[in-house]
Amino acid sequence: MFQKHKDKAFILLSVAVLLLLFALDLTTGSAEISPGDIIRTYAGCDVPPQTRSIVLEIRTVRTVTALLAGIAVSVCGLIMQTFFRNPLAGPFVLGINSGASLGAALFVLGLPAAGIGNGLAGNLGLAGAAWIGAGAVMLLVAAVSHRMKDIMVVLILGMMFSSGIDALVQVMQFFSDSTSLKSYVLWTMGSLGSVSHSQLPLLAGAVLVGLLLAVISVKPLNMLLLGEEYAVTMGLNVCRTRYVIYSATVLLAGTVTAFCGPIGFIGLASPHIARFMTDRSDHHILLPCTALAGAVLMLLCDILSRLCSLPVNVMTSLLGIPIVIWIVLRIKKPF
Amino acid sequence: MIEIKDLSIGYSRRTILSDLNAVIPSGTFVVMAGCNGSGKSTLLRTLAGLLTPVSGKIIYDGKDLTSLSIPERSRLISFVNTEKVRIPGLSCHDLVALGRSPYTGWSGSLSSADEKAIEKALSLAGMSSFSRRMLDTMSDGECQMASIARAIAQDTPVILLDEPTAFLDWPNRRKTALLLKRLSTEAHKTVICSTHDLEVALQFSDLLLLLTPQGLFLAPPSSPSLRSRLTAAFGMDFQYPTCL
Repeated sequence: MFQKHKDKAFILLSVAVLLLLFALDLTTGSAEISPGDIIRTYAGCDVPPQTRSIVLEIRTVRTVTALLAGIAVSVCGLIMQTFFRNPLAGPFVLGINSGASLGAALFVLGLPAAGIGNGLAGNLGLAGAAWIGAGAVMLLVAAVSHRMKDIMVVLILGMMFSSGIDALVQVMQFFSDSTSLKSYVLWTMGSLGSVSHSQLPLLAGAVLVGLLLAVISVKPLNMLLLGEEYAVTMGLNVCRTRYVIYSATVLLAGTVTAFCGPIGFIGLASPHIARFMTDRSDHHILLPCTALAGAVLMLLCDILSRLCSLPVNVMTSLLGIPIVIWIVLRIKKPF
Repeated sequence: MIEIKDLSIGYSRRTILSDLNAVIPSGTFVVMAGCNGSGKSTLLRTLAGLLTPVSGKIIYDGKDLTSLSIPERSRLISFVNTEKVRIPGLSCHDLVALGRSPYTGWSGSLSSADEKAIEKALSLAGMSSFSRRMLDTMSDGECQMASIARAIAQDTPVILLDEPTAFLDWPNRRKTALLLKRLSTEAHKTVICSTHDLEVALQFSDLLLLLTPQGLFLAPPSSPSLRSRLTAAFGMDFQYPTCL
């Protein structure tokens, strides 16, 4: 009974903190806008058109993006940790990050080198290229791992593909000119502000479908806690589950990486925070709690990165690394 | 009834045992014995449908195992392997509840019938008082009992267990063997387990299944021909436990 109260307490607390941070995130930014003006904008009252457009088209879009990104990478991290039964797995262990980087690198570094101008290098172009890259690597991992019975082989494959692709990207960086290099490096630093008003529905749609796949995977994930042998003998079609999980990974981590750049550590840390706070491994509880923890962490990182004028990826690392170290120190044995 | 017909078992490139034949009657407690590497785990995994037979057939009550779908198999056979189930953040009840997976819907939420089955499984295994305990606060013996309770909750006519008495001390080994024996007599389940624990095997089993390179040998522990077979299989003069 005590356990149940612990989950409820965590959910209530994090929802409250989340609302507070959401409001706080709306008020932070380069332009000075009073909380009153923000409320008036939402209430539909008369405010200067410039304020209205900053609040609705920049601040709201950025804050919602942060919320979605935090939820997406965290849920993806949770799925990967259970799927690979490895507490140090994150959303990017299957090579999603590298695939997206390759797509982005090909777009930013490859196109100018191939003589195609930066003319079509709009933001959606970059995000689209990164998304295609993430999807392509996922397909490759899925195709190669199709016949692999042992899940550890899939993990090793994913990590090897990542390293190989990273090397390829480095070769491209080495041969590219300084302007393209800078725009690529900026992409790797991550930005929640680069998602435009018109791109948000696309990001939200993909993330929501990914979350839906995660929700239908709750029962399989619980079964996989005991390992694949138990899961199969309890009636789980492991092959089909793998495809659902691969798809969820592309939609969650792939989409966020494509639009906001690689966001480190939040996906790894949030599931552990949820586990620590609730003391539960049941995904019915862990999935919503992880999503909440991820949303809170991401909004916090966004606010801090605005205040310090640093790229968001720097913040997620600075905030995430101590959490990950703390996790490593308190793990008694890998589950 | 489980019929093993001209079965060859092994992995894609390596056949471990071939020409296996045996008929295991329903409601019996069968203990598999054999040296390390004799193929006990491989045979058990093949019987559970986790490994495909290299050739031959396994027939459960007239149905060929390979023709059954994964969900159909999960209602026929439950399996307990040697992996420890001590998962942090999972209670004994949560573990046993996972055994209901073949019967729950997409979300895995438990009906009142499922809750009843879980309670029954816990009480059969003598684990009712542990229901709310977290697995990582339980001993090896208690976790093993919880693990068997999960298999009971799966409500299958056949239960397969890979070395259920490994890691356990003598009282817990005895307790486990008694529970398995009771599952076969009272719940009419066919229970097949592998073990290195010949003492337990000879004392509690209905039938002993000996794995030798020459094939399977199935006999009651009291069978006179068993002793010479055991001596041959283990390469030493085998002393029967005095309690027999």
